[in-house]
Amino acid sequence: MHILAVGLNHKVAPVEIRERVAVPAEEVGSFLGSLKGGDGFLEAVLLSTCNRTEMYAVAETYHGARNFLLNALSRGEESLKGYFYVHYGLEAVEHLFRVATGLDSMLLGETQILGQVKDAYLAADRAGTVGKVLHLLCRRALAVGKRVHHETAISQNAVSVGYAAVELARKVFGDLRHCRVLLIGAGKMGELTAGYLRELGADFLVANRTVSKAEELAGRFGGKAHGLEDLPWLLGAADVVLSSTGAPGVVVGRPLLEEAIRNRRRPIFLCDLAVPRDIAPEVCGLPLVFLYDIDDLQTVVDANLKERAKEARKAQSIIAEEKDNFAAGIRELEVVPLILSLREKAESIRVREVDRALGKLGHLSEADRRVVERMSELIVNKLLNDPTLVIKEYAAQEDAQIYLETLSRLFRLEIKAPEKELAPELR
Amino acid sequence: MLFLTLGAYGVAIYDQVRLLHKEEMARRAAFSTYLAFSLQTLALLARMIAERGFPGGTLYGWILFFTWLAATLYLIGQKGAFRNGGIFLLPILASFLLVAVLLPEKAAARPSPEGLWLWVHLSAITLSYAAMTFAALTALMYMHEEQSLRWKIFGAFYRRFPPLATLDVWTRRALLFGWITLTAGMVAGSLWAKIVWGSFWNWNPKEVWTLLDWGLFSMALGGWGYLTGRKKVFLVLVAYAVALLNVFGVDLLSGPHRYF
Repeated sequence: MHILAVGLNHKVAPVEIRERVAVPAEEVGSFLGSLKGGDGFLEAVLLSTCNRTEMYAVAETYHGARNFLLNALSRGEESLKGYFYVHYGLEAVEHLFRVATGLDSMLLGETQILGQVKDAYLAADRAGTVGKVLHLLCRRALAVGKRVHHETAISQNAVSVGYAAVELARKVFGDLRHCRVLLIGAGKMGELTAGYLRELGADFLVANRTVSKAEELAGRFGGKAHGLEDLPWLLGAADVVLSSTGAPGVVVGRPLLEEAIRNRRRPIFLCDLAVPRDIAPEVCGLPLVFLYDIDDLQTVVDANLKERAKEARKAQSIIAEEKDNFAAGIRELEVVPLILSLREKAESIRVREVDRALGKLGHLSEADRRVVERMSELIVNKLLNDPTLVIKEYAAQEDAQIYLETLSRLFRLEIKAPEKELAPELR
Repeated sequence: MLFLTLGAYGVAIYDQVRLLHKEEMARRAAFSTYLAFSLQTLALLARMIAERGFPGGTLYGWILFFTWLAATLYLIGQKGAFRNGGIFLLPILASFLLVAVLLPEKAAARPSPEGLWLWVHLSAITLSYAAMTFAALTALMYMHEEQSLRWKIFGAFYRRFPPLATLDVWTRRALLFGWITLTAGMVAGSLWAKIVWGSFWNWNPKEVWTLLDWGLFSMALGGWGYLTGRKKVFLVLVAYAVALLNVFGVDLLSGPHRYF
């Protein structure tokens, strides 16, 4: 049994390639279905997002499965095959763990991928291509993802300018539901950030040079539309100011703001998202005023990215630990049924032979019969004791497969699958 | 016992510092903090048995009691806004305890005669100091965060502390509670003074300092809605510093309070 990961992602393939390989969500089921019965092929999960298309599979032989999967994923196009990476065994396991935790993502530590891994797992389960190994693997991957997000700060701290602005606003005001946001101008960054703030339940005031545009924005974010001449009192009423006009000069000067917030006691958080800047940098010195321009926000983002990279190292050590756990789990998955069936076989032989012998020894007393019975049990147990211990030991080694196979052949064991979630049609 | 407590405090502080950088330390930090608290509770109980009652007989006993109260408030509060607040509070409390250990153990300077008002006075004032410690703590956190935002320098503290608005609310709450208990304690104290010395107010240094402190706290509380953030927390910190001087400094001057 071999675990493989075959796929490509944003690091190895440009978007023109990725889009040719991607499998749309509604076709994942039929795609997986079409793989059934392929060359020694046992289990498969397909993860297809805009940044990656990857197949996690369990197969009887490595090479056959590798070529089979490459063909399937590239739809037979030779030119595409060069883009794929193939991970094998525990490397494949580690790769999935890294993917699930967002370590392999374009945006380090993002959490969306965890949901996508879950969806991929469920879709494959519905398609009937998940067996005991991938069940174990996918569940572990989801658990590792959760663990990493819980135990490290890898998914914390905004890594986009818009989110960084929102995070700062929250650091000042806490709950943004009681906050009033003043949106000045209709720049893209301003609108984007305003959208995030809207989701957090902030109220809006909208001001623009052309009132018609202001009305359009007000229609989207709520609140009333104003012209720029209302700024003096609007500034006094706002907690968060997002400014992204296309104006060539300063829109909010120091005297204007000073006058507007004269009676204010709450802090005011100003975000200048425009280039050239809308808000005079001199307002920084005013009490209560926190001013961030686009460069400041970018600095915050850079710092946050560094923070995430630091956390990624912690995540990596968690993944290493979980990889070992998984390896142990897999070995148990293989060795336990083997030992069980060895024991079962021995027991059935013992019972049969003891019954036969006792049938011929009808004159024995009840106590004598028990002695015979006990003797047979002891012989079987003592005989099997060493092989059981040794095989458990071997199972922990790299080449466990050879020993397990030898054992099952030596005793002609049939390994019955203990879990019912096995995909029988793929066996 | 107290040395053990101090040791546990040391460990707890160390863990809290590590917690700043390592989320997975949370459990261990909580454990060591609770351990320090439990040890202190035992030390306090031992003290109370030794003094047969309220541990107000010596400055030593009183500090033990006062820091214990502050730690209790912190442990209640930490569940919400005060994760990582311990990193400031624990060193403050530990240094109080250290002072307590270093102080020469005076014989019980129990005021006599004792009476109900005295005990109300002592408990209320102690409770007030604990609350004020708490207020000072959140004020300190506020100041740090405000400066971080202003100078755009973001350290480990900044990332862990609650929002400014939350710190503002909690400082005010602690301040209000501290002010009420301080006022109650002063009223009880003056009633007691009337019984013992025949006059509500005696103008001894302790009383004057306390009045000054009360004035500062009243200003901070009364001005809460009118002052800007930085000014309010500054006022709180100044008032707290005066309170500390009152506890440790004014004792050196003579007066009927002897130690507090």
